[in-house]
Amino acid sequence: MNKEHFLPFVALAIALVGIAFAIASIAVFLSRGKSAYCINKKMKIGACLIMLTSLMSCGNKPNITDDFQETCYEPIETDVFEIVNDTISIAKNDTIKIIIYEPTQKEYIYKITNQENSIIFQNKISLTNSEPNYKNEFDLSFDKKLIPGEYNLILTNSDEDRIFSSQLIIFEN
Amino acid sequence: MKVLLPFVSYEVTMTCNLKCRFCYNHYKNTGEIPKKPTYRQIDKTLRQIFKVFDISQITFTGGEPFTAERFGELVLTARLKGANVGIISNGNFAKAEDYIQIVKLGVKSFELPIHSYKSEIHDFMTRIEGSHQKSLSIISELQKNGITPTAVVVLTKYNCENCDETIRFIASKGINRIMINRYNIGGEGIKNPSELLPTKIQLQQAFKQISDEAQNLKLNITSNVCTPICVLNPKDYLGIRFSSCSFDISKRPITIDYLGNVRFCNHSPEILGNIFENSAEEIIKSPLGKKWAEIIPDYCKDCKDYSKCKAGCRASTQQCGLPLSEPDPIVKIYKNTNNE
Repeated sequence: MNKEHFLPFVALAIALVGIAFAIASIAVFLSRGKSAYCINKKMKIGACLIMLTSLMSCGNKPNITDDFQETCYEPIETDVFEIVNDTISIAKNDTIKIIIYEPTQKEYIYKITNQENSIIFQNKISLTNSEPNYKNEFDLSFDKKLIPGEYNLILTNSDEDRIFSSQLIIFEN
Repeated sequence: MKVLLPFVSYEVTMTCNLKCRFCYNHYKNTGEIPKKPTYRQIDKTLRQIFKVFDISQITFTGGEPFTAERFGELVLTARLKGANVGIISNGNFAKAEDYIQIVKLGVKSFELPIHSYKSEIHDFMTRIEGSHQKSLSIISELQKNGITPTAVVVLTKYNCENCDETIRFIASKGINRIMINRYNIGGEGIKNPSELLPTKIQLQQAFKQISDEAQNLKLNITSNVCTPICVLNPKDYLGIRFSSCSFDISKRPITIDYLGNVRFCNHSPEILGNIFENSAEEIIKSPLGKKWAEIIPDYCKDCKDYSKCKAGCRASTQQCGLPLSEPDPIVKIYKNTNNE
């Protein structure tokens, strides 16, 4: 039985719990919010209602995200990659200029993958200065044996949780 | 049509059961003791917030939010409106079951203070004996219910030494998300900044210790009070993620109090408008808000880092009664007093 089969039952349950919630809310209102018993019931039914509506809307769990922003302000983005070259098309012996903003690690990786996503070239970018700058420029060079063609250039930090990907065309000199 | 405002902080009350020396709340600076609002008033404002803004995340704060009348029902209302809810609490007012009741509403984000590994330091900062133990006890109860709260450390002169010990203590409690907030001049803490403010070197050493511990223990540590880069340069503390003040209102947790007054942030005393009196458009496009972006402090005009730093916390500038043409007051305090 897939999810769609349960939905009518969930909808019915929401309607019933919704009625119970309305009754509990009225009871709280009539007690002017003084009845701990009624408030407690309202909270419990409310929790049930939230669970059911979440099931209805997203499938199987309450609509809560782990990625809650608890900060006061906008976080500075770290490990941001940028390709400086105006073109993504380079000659075989050329280099490509990239910038890493706000690095958090000492080492980064750049890879060339083909259209089937197989890695055909990989190298490291090391932040040699002991105090990384806000903006760090690098010239990436590639294996001179690479056959001209269309590739993907992938930039990642060493944890591989920040990934930047761009098309790259390499042509004969 | 509703105006999109992804993050909102809602100050449900101004009352608090602690007396933190560093409290940044602007009303502490006025000497007035605000009246405790009624549930009806808080609820009315909450519903109005959802009526005028399209919100995905609301953070309940105060004062201590649990001191608000029928606080659980307010959270329930926000959850039924489909918002993610976060709670900033001192862990000292409500009972464990009150927190658990809120967890059952699908609330996962709680921020509770652990200012030091030593109870006496934490309690000295909050001016309430036993507050450290109570906060730890609520954290433990939340963890038993599958919630890992974010620990909040406010860095002052009193707890910045051995703060690496505090970080290890927090990590030993199974918490891996920590907010390090430097003491921000304002509110209660404006009365005698020199009593609370660590020297620049103390502050930098503390951040270095914390950054190192974050990397060693693989902790998610953020610095959440925007700090001038000439005071703390994020590149020196790679274990800590620094946040900065954004002029883009949609990226800010705009703060609304129970009267419906909208402010640029929870530190700022300046009111952009009122949700019962002004349209959402008027508030969001308030010329007062634009001033923050337009006025660049003379002190910062030639600084290459201004675009990121934005002169630190200028809400603190406002709290000190200074114009926006002045940077965060910490800059000049450190400069003028050679407080290094």
